Formats: sequence, C-alpha cells, structure tokens
Amino acid sequence: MSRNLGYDSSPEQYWLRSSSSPVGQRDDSSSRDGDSMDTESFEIRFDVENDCIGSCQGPAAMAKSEGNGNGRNRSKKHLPEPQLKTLEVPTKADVKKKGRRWSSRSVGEDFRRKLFAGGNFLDSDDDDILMPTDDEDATEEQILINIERQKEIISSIRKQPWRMKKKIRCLRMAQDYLSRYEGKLSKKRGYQEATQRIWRKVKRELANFAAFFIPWETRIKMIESYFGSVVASYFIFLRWLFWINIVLSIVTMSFVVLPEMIVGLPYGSIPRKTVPEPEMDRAQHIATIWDFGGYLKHSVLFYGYYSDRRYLGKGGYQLPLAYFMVGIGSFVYSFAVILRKMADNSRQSKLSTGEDQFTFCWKVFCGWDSLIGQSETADNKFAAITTGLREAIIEEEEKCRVEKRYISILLRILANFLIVTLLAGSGYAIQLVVERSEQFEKMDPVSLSWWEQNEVSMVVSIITMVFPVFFDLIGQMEKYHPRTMLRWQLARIMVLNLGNLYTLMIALFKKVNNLAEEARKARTALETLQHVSMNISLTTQQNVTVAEHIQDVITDILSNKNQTDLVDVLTARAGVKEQCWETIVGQEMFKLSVFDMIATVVTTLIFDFLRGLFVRFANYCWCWDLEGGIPGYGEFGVAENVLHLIYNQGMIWMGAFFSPCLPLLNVLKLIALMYFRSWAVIMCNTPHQRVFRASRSNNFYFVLLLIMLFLSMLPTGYVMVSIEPSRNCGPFSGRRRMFDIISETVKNSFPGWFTIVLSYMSTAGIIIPVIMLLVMAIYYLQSMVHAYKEANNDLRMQLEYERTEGKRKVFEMSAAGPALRKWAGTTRNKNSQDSPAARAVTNSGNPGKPHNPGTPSHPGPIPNGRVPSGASTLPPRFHNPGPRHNFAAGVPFNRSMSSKVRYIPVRQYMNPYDGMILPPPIAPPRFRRVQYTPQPGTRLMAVPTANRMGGGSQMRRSSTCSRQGSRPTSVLVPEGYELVQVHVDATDDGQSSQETSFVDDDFDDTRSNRSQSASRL
Amino acid sequence: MGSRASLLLRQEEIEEIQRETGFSHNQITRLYSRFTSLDKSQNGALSREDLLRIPELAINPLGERVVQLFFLEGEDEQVNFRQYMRTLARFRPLDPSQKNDKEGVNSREKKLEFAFRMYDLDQDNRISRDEVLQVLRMMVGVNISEEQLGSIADRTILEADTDGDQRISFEEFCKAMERSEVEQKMSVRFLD
Repeated sequence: MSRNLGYDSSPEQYWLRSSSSPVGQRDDSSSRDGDSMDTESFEIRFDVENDCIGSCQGPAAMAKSEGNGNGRNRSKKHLPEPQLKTLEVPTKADVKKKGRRWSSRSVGEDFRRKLFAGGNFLDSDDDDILMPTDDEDATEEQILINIERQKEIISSIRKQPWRMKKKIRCLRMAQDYLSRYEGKLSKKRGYQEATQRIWRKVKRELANFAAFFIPWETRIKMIESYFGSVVASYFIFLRWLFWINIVLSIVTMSFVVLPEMIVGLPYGSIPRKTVPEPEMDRAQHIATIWDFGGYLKHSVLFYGYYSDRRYLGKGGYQLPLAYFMVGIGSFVYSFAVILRKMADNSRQSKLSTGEDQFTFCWKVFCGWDSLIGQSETADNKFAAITTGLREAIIEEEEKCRVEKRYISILLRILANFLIVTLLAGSGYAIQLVVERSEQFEKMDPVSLSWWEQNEVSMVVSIITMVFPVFFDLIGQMEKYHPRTMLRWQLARIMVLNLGNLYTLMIALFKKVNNLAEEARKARTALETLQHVSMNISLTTQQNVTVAEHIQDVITDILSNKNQTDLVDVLTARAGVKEQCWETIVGQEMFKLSVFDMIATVVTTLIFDFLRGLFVRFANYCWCWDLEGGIPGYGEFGVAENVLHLIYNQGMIWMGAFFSPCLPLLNVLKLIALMYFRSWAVIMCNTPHQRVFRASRSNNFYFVLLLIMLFLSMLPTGYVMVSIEPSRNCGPFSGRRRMFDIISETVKNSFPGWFTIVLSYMSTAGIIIPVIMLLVMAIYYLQSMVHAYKEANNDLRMQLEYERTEGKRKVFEMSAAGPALRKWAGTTRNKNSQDSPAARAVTNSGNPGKPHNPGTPSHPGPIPNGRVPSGASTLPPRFHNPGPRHNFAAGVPFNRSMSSKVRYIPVRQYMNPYDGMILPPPIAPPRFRRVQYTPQPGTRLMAVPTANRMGGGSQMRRSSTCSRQGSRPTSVLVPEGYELVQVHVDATDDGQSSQETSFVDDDFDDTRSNRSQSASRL
Repeated sequence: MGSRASLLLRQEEIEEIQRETGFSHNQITRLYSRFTSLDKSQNGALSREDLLRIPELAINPLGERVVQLFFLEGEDEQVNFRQYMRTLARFRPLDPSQKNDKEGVNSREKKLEFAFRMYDLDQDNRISRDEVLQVLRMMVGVNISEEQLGSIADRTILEADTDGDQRISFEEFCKAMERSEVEQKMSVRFLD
C-alpha cells in the first residue's frame, strides 16, 4: 500500500548522492549538499583496521537503499529488525558458489556489498552484482518489490558512472530477472497495482472536476476576497437555499404537478378547470396576467386546478393523498436539512476553535500563496490578505475597547423603544392596507387605479425595503461589536418580516372567512329555500303567486342535479361569489414573491447603481467630496439581505401548499438574485468600513431560518386541520377538513387492525405517556449535552496545557545543550582520543569553520554562515548523538578510511509538540567490545542472539572476513548480536561448520551513560 | 526547446542538480530553457530585472524579497543556473507522502527557513518590528492606514515573541508557524 509513496523523487536522489560519496570525490557544491545532509543523518563508519562490525544506520536508509519507499512504515520500528528483513541474505547456493571468494576479499567491500544489496550501489567494478535471489518460495510481495527495483535499474542505468561492460551486464541481469519473474507474478497482482495507480489519479482529477461544478464557487471566492467573509456568507447562504429549493421543486413537480398534467383532466373539461364566462373577455389582459388571474389562475400553478378524484388515470394515482403528503413532506425535509446543517456547522466550529493563537503571525508570514500564478487570482489574493488583516484588526480593537456603560445602556433602551414603535407602525399599516383592499375587492376592478390594485404587495415590499435602513441607523447608536450589531439587526428585521407576513396572513384569513361565511349563508338560504319551495309545491298548489318566484329557482335547480352547481346557481343569483380561497392565497403569495423580486431589482438599481453612477461622475463638478462624504457609495447590507432571503423562503414555505409551483419559481428567483446581487456588489458597492469576520459557523442565519420555517408552517398546519376546504375547487373539495384524506386512506387502504391500532394510539391514554417520555428524553439528553460540554472544555484545556508544557520541556532541554557539551568534553578526555564526533558536538556552535566532509558537524539551520542564536543549543535535538558518538569515541578516527564513510539519511519524525527535528524513537544501539584473534580460514559473523537460539540461519545479518594475519584485535559488536566465527574453508557447507561464539559483557560505562542520556532526550 | 537546453547542459551537471535539488531530468531541462529565455543579456546569469520577469514573482507582492534571496546564495549581483535551481528547489511542492521527511531541500523546515529569510530583511536572524512593517506595506499597499499597520506589526511580534526581545527569532518563527500550512503555500508547481 505504502510502497509507492514517496517513490518519485527520493530514492533516485538518494542513490545519486550515495553513489558518489563513497568514492570520496566531492566538489564544492556537493560538499555543501553534504552539509545539509549532516543535519538529518548520522554517519555509519566501517573501520577495516579494527574489524568493526557496525550496524547503526537508520532503518529508513536501509529501506531506501533497497530502491523503494518501503521504509516508511518500517521506520517506526526498532532498529535491527527491519534490516534483517530487507537485507539480501545469501542462500546456501550462494555461499557454495561464492564462499571462497568472500574469504579473500577485503572486509569493508564485502560488508558494503551486502549492506546495499539493492543493486543501486554497485560502485565497484566487481562482477558480482547481487540480483534478487532465485528463491522459489519468495512471496509475491517480494517479487513485486524486486521487479520494481529491477525496472528502476534498467531505467536509470545510463546515468551510472560505470564501465560499459558492467552496465551491459547489469542491464542483462535485470532484464533476465524481469523476463523470468514478471510472468510468474500473477497477472491479477500487476493489474491491481496498475488499477490502484490509475484510480488514485482518476480520483484526483474527479475532485478537481467536481470543484469546477460547484455553482458560483469562483464568484463567491472573488467576492469574499474583496468584501470579506461576511458578505460572502450571504452568497453561500443563498447557494444553500438554492439547493433546498431545487429538492423541494423536484419533489413537488414529480409527485404533484406532472401527474396532474399527465393523467388529470385537461383544461376546460370541468368548470373548476375553466375560466368562467364573465371573466373570459378580460382573461388576456395584462392586468389580469399581472394578477395571476385568468388562464394562470386556472392552471397547475394553483391549488384550485388540482382534481379531487381519489384515483386518477389508469394507474389510479391518488393525487389528493400525494398533494397532502408532499405538503407535509416538504416541511419535514426542510426541518431535517436545516437541523443537519446546523449540527454540521457547530461541529466545524468546535474543530476550529483555539486556532487563533498566532492569528497575526499567520496572516503576515504565510499570507501569500506561491502557487498562485495568475494575475487575476493574485489580485484577489491581495485583496483577501488586506481584508483578512482588516478583519483581524477590528477583532482586536473590539477586544480592547472600554465601554462607557451608562450612556450606552441609555442609548440601547432608546434604540429598542424606537424599533418597537417602528414595528408596531408597520403592523398597523399592513392591517390598514388589507382592510382597504377588501373594500376595493367589492368595487369594479376596471375603475381601480394600478396603485389601488397592488396596494398590499406594494406596502409590504416598501416596508421591507425601507425599515431596515432605519434599523441600521438606530443600531449604530447602540455601539455594539459589529457582529453583535449584525445579530441584533438580523433579529429586528426578522421580527419585522414575520410581523408583516403574519399581518398579511391574518388579513387574508379574515377575507377567507368572510368569503366562507357568505358562501355558507348562501347555502343555508338555498337549502331553506329549497325546503320551503318543496313544501309549497307539494302541499299548497293554489298559492302559486307566492311561490312563483321560488318555483323559478327550483326549475333552475332541478335542471342541474349537481350539488355544487346548485350553489353556483344560487350564488350567481344572490350575487354572492364563492371563490376558491386557497387559490386566492396562492395567488397572493405568488404575486408577493414576484413583486419582491422586482422591488429588489429596482431598489438595488436606484440605491446602488444610480447612486454609484451619480457619485462617480458628479464628483467631478460638485462642491464637496461625494465619494468620501455623503452620499458615498453604497455598502452591502448583509443583515437585510440575509433576512430578505429568509423572508422569501418563508413565503415559499407558506405558499407552497397553495401554489405547488412556488418552489420552482423560487429556484429561478434565487438564480437571478445570485447573479444580480453579485453583479451589484462588485459593480456598485464598496467594502464595509469595518470589515469583520463572519463567525465560522453562521448558525445564526440557520436559527432564524428555522424560526421562519416553524412560523410559516403554522398557518399551513392550521389550514390543514381546522379550516374547511373550498367546496368547488382543489384536491380536497367535498371533505370537511383537508386532513380527512389521511383518515380516509387509512380506512380504505389499510387492514382493519391498523385502523384500530391507530385509533388506540390517538387516545389520551397513549399520547400523554408518549409526551412524558419525550420530555424525559429531552431532559436526559440536555443533561448529557451539558456534561459533554464540560468534558470537552476540560479536554481542550488539557490539550492546550500539554502543548504549551511540551514546548516548555523541549526548550528546557535545548537549554541543557551546554551541559551536554561539557559532557562531551569529559568523555573525550576520558578516552584521550581526538574523537571527531565529540569535537563536532562541541564545535557545532560555529559551523562557519571549514570541516572535513567526513566529520559530522552541525551546519546550523541557516546556511550562508549565519546561524540563529538558538542554534547552538540545537545539536541534542537535531542529532542522535548516541550511536555516532559511541562509534567515534570507541574507535580511533582513521584518516585513510574517511573516504569510506557513508552518509545515510535517517527518516525522522515530527515532534508533535514543536515541530523540531528529533531523532527517531529508537533506543540507540549499544556496543560491546570483544577481543578477538582472527584465525586463517575463518570469518566473523554477527548473529542476532535471539535468532540463533531459534536456529534460523537465514537471519544472519552481517559478516566480515578475517584478514590473514593473526594479530589480536578488538571488535565492536552491537547489542543483541553475537559474534560467531565460521570456518569457511573447512567445508563448502559453511553454515554447519564449527561456530565459536564470544560472549563478553564488557560494556563501556560511559557509553551506557551516554545512551541513557540520549534516550532521555 | 528541451533539446537545445539539454545540449547546453551537460549530463553530469544535470545529474548534479538532480541530486542537489530533487528536480527530475525533464524539469531541469525545462527550467534551463526558461532560464535562458529569461536571460536577456545572454551571459548565462540572471540579473534582478530578469528574475522579476518570472510571472509568479512578478505578481507576488513579496516578489522582490524572493528575488533578493536568489542572490543570497552567491556573492555577486548575478544568479547562475545552479543558484537559480537551488532557490527554486525550495519551492518544489512537498509530496504528501514525504510530509515527515526532513532531509529534502523542499522539506517543511527548509521552506520555513526560506520564509524566515524572506522577512528578515537585514539578515540579522531576527525579524524586527520594522521588518514586519515593511513586509506588511508590501503586502497590503496603501489599503490599510499606517497606524493600523503599526498595530498589526505590534501584535505579530507580541504573538510570536517568547523571550521578550521584541523581535522574532527563527525558533519563535518556527513555533508560530507550527500548525500553519507553510509547506503548501511556499510551493510552486513545476511541470514534469
């Protein structure tokens, strides 16, 4: 899985580096490179003179030398183990073949060859290029790794500074291996790898593609960069509402509107689907269309058009039920979506708290994004940085401000008083207008002026437009923090809008009630009339004159058997129009919505665009500065615009039941608003004087939206359960209540027991316990939330504490640097050897000093001879001084072998506390010194103790041949290994030959001290 | 384009640069051709003006500072290809898989260090208030009043300064940037 990670650049880079370093030819630049490597690597040195078996290179380096990035997951393990796995171990066959030759080759060469058996480090001209062994039972995994390695060799062999002969041989062997094993490898495996690679790529591309399709993303980003996050939050909110409305309109269209259009009776088939005769001549007038009367009124746009038949068409589509369910469902869906969004937001705000520790540092020092390569983006980014800084300043200023308490309290009381007055005024005005409109209703529509016809929507729109400006002015004298001010502003406008909507609703209902009242009167009149006339005609035939007029009516009635038509006839005669009040409400909402859009456009054009034009061009010849002073350019009023959206959405929710196409209209409206608003903002508005950051979770908007949803649900709910639907129109005509459709369905379509169960469920005996249970659940959850909050706070504080405390500790340790240096000095004296590593530790404070490339030295984090002051304290953190020092201190530094020094980068891990570099969490290997007199024909092997016990001869990890001489030497053996002498010459089967182990417990005291101190670091 | 560049660029040089900077072969030849096209005077080295013609730097408000850092690698007022590549290597994007990799020239630490030097105008290894102010002026231009800029600078120093010398050292800088996304922002996409 992780094999391919980091594969692209690092192995090659490493390879080139290390292939040149053993040769010891470093030019100026590469030694500079070597310096920087020193920071992160510690060396491994093989000293042939002393027959030292060393094994302290980092596991990651080992893995890298293998030529794949497999070391990533291994780097976390302890030291010896991964090496054992990755090292190429000669099998018996190998030993048989090569055993003799090994004995005669120099020790260091041999060891290095084994160590870097990946094939990448073949810098000698020997012919033994180690290929992956022909192990029959190698796992597929292993073969795959080998194949990849061979492929890499092939691809990069041309760049190697080798002889041509060797290159060709190497290439052949690699190709040979590939041809042998590539086929063996199950194809499935290869395909898997390939698909995984392709899949990753495709996924990335898809993500890019998807980002491209988020509507208006770039537009919003641009506005955000120029106008700040608050203005952008409006557009993001708008986009979110857009998605909701899309879903609502899709559901309504597919379950209500389209079925009606497809299987319902066509236009003109029944009276309710036809424009009445007297209205026919005016049906095409622009005024009628403007009112959504005429043909529009008798269309799928409104409630009245939908058929009340239980089963529609051949399939028996239950339209009334669908209509009811969609009405309920859209409310439920909206609730669910808003609540989910709110939960989401609060979760995000939880995640993002506590990050403002270094606000300004981040804004200043990593503000610019160097990935930006386009000048337009650069402009945006530039603006964004400025805006961000200004937001941050405002935040800071507000934190520091001292309030003059009494004055501001007085002012706030005054402000609230004024606002209440304004709200009451608006309510009264709407009430008045609606009453007037009832009077206009009774008059002839032709004689009315345009204003009189549209008075209600005009007044409502004007109030919604103008009052927020007053609120804004009043709000400014309260002197709140801009964000608090925005919230107050939002709340007030919300109340205003709700008041308007409710006044309108109440007025409409009053009208509806009046209509219903009249209709009922007419009906009762008719019924008594009928009754009386029947009596008259049956009993007193002679009293013709009395009943003459009534008889007239009766004949009319008898000619039409239909009950509703009876009413029609009567109402026509009585001059009472029974109208479809649901359609009237729908019409009203539709009109309001459209009018609102127009008003928005007009006011924006006047107050923003024309004003902007005027200010811009009249400024040339005006007596004061128009741009800077009064009137200036408009600002984008976030509060009123957000509230406008919420209000608009409320209208949609309220009206959607009466006019199923309203969500669709709203989708169009929102799209138009998005383009129009964004155009107006960029074209005519200036950024706010005081830009402040929108709180990360704009939950306040959603709270308002939720309130709006609840309130707009109430009237609809009321209509559904307690008002009698119109008798001659709509899907519920003929039922006492709209809700009856559900009980009807339950009775007809469900088995009998279900009805019984339901009736039991709806008794008080069940409902009251359920309510109590719910209350208990709410209480329980509430207390849980409280407890969690506390726990959350505790945890956060703990985290904060640990972060700061951890940092403090690390800094203390870095302050302990001098102590370490002192210690280094003492060990040097003790050993009375000029240990270069110890010198390096001591000298690390002044890296400007030229040094031996083989000498590890701390280069300082900043090249060019400049080192930050703290750098002198860094060595203990930047290095793992333990192993290197052990090595160097124990072994006299041999100048002639310095070219054999290898640098192996060690993958280090990020300290979670302060981002400093620490050595990997490996216990530094400890060494013991073993006195040893080499015997001719033997070689030394270091064998892991544990493994030898287990008898796995495969795990032998390093070996070194003895030299011919028999001078006693001391050898350093890493802990956990045993030194084994193997007689190679005695038999071909070296493994089974006599093994002599040396066990010596001579641990160097200072070294164990040192490693303790290192592990403490 | 690439062929011409690779003609001028010797194989060993490419390898050397590859080793040093971690750029791929293709990237090096591509960057070399770009280098030569930037080099108006045709003398194999770039001047300040040449460097500022790089579009990424031209649009970067701190571009001049970055250019300045090109020259820190060498002594004279010219940047040769090696120095050019060495500086660009700092901007090589960090592979997400080598996030914890400390050794590369493009590692997070190296990027941080580069950023630090970008803000450390007088190269005394401390970022002083004046230096923050200058950087701020470059970044926001005249959009924010001088007084406010001053308070931003003060706040910045206050936040990062732990030892109370009113200046930001490299350690303090690293600590402040610890959880920021420097490694992403200090990256430039190079074509393969």
